[in-house]
Amino acid sequence: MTGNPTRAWRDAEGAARLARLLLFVEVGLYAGAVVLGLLVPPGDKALEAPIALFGLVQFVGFAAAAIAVLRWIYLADNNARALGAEDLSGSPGWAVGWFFVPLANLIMPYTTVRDMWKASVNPKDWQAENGESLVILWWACWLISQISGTIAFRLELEMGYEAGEATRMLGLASDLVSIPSALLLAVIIGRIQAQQVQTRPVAILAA
Amino acid sequence: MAVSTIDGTVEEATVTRSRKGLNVYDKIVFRLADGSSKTWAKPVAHQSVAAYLWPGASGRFYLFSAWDHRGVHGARTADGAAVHFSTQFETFSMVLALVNLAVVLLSVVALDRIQMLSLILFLLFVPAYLYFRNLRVQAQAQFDADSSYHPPAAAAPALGTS
Repeated sequence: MTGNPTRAWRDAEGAARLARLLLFVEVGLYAGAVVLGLLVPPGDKALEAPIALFGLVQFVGFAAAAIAVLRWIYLADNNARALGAEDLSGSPGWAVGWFFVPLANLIMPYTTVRDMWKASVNPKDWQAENGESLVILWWACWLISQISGTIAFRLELEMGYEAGEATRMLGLASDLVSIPSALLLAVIIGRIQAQQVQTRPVAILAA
Repeated sequence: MAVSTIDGTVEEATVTRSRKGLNVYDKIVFRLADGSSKTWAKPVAHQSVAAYLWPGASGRFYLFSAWDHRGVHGARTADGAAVHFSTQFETFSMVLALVNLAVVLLSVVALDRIQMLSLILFLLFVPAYLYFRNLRVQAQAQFDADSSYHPPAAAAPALGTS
């Protein structure tokens, strides 16, 4: 196996490390949000400003982790092709782009990461590999957290204070499920990255 | 979106269901001339093409993949048979695009508001239609360009060898 000559191997170690680090930071922030959600009584005026500041920090943390993860997905998808995996759908650009296409983003990022995992294990005949339950679990957690978070946001936007308890519980559920989602993604990134480095043929190492 | 060919022998072809002239497979495993295997997971094939996808059939097989959707659109077998079936996904996309456009227009006229879900679906199915149309054209061109190809009778090794 000499890899796919149309795709050059690109070092993704640094991107994987950064993505995992920022995901762990994100886990800490989600845990903080859950604790705040449980301890702070709704409508506490005195804590409004610190909570708003924490929300801002949480958003910045999410954005930083998202950029790092998408950067790694681009590189890892490219490297799966460089290892010789044929017939992977789309391109490394689309592996990232699917996250931003309405409705398609409910399924395509999952299939991209699933296929990337398979292609990293056995690039020559990746479709013969079984699906990985870790990826399914990660995607289920991600969907639950995103859907509950979106509903909470829409409720707050449309009903304001009247939606109080429902919004709070949904927001809490979203933060809570985001913890395993981020942890699972960190594990998936680590495993795919290690697998790709292990599968990397001598021809690519020498280049 | 991609079309590709594979030269080899069908080693395994497990049909999970058949309906409306289409066979849906769990997987089709091809044995290549160098002894390695190549798996095509969860593909579909029209029954005219599926008739040539039985274990032991050897020749050139014409494959397509579109997003998470795969299939076999043609075959030229070692016994001289050549069969091709054009994919029909573009019709399905066009119908859905038109239905959603109608819902958007109706919602504007009757309810004085835009039905957002239908608008998003319309905006997704229009490029999907163009995508699948391009796929059909590519697949047809691929099969036609290969018309002079005749697989050798002994192109692939016997089953069970590696």
